[in-house]
Amino acid sequence: MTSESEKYKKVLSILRQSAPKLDGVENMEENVIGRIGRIGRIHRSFSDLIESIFAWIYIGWVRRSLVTASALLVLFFVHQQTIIMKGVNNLNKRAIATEAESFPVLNDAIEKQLMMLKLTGRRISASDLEISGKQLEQILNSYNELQEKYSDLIKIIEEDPALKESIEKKLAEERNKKSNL
Amino acid sequence: MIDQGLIEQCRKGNLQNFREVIKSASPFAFSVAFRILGDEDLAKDVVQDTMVTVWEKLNKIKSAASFRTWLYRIVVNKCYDHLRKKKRESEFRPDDKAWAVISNHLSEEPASVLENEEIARLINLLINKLSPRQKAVFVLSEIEEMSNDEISEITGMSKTLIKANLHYARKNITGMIEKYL
Repeated sequence: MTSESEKYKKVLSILRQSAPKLDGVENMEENVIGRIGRIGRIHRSFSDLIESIFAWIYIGWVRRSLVTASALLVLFFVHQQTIIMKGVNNLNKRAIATEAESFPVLNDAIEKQLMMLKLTGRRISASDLEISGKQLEQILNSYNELQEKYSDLIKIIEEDPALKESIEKKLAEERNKKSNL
Repeated sequence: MIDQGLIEQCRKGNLQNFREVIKSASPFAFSVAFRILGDEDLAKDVVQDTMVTVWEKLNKIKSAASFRTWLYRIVVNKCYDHLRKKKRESEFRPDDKAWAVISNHLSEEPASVLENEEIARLINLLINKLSPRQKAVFVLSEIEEMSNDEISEITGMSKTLIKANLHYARKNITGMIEKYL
């Protein structure tokens, strides 16, 4: 017998005679009983629900068939609802693709503003108009706001000759720089 | 002692009788789980899960005589699950100090009985590199001293596969012992 197999046998004999000691069996017992109780309650409440809904059926197989059919219907309903909800969530991501689709949702004021925008030289082709009516309204509002701020700025500059002079000087410098380049 | 009467009472939903089952079955379920997993807390979790499964599947027990084998089957399967998770979580690295402690125990005459912590350390050193199946076969055959028929019934493996796994486990462990002890 080789020394390796002797060592192996000794290791085995130590492991065999050293039985692991399980402490806290009472705790474990309580935990297991607690878990079983919880599982039992869930099962019971489900059985009670089934019992209360299908109590009027006395034939076993009919009751089972109805329970299965109901479960399938509920599953089908949940599945359909999920699909609908996904569809609704995706709706706000969808852009209005063409001019024809976007214009019906605009009111007259916006339509007029859009015409003005086009007349001032901004070319917007129908294929580029991949925005919703609401987004378009926001753009026009921003544009008007910008125009107002621009007019205010011009008025301020006109009223202050020193500021006007310094801005003109600055602009002349910029022009010189560009022409040098 | 778990007899047919006790099992029948449990089947009727008598939790007081199931406490008896937990008390008498937990120690040997813990012994196998602890020796396969090499971790006391994990082994306790396995025993708890096993007891809950036993309660849920009491109707599947054919006879009191086959209860022990049936319980072992549940324990081993739950251990497999934990071993798969454990493998994903971390790699075990044996250190020389741990081997030195085990070596001291082996040199004692007569061989000393190990505490849980030492058993865990020795188990981890010896069988950590084995696959879950090899661990189970090694523990059931070499430490719990079960026959190949019993192991086959517990693990669902053929006798040839058990022999092959045991051969590989012995070879690997002997190699480890030779290298470190």
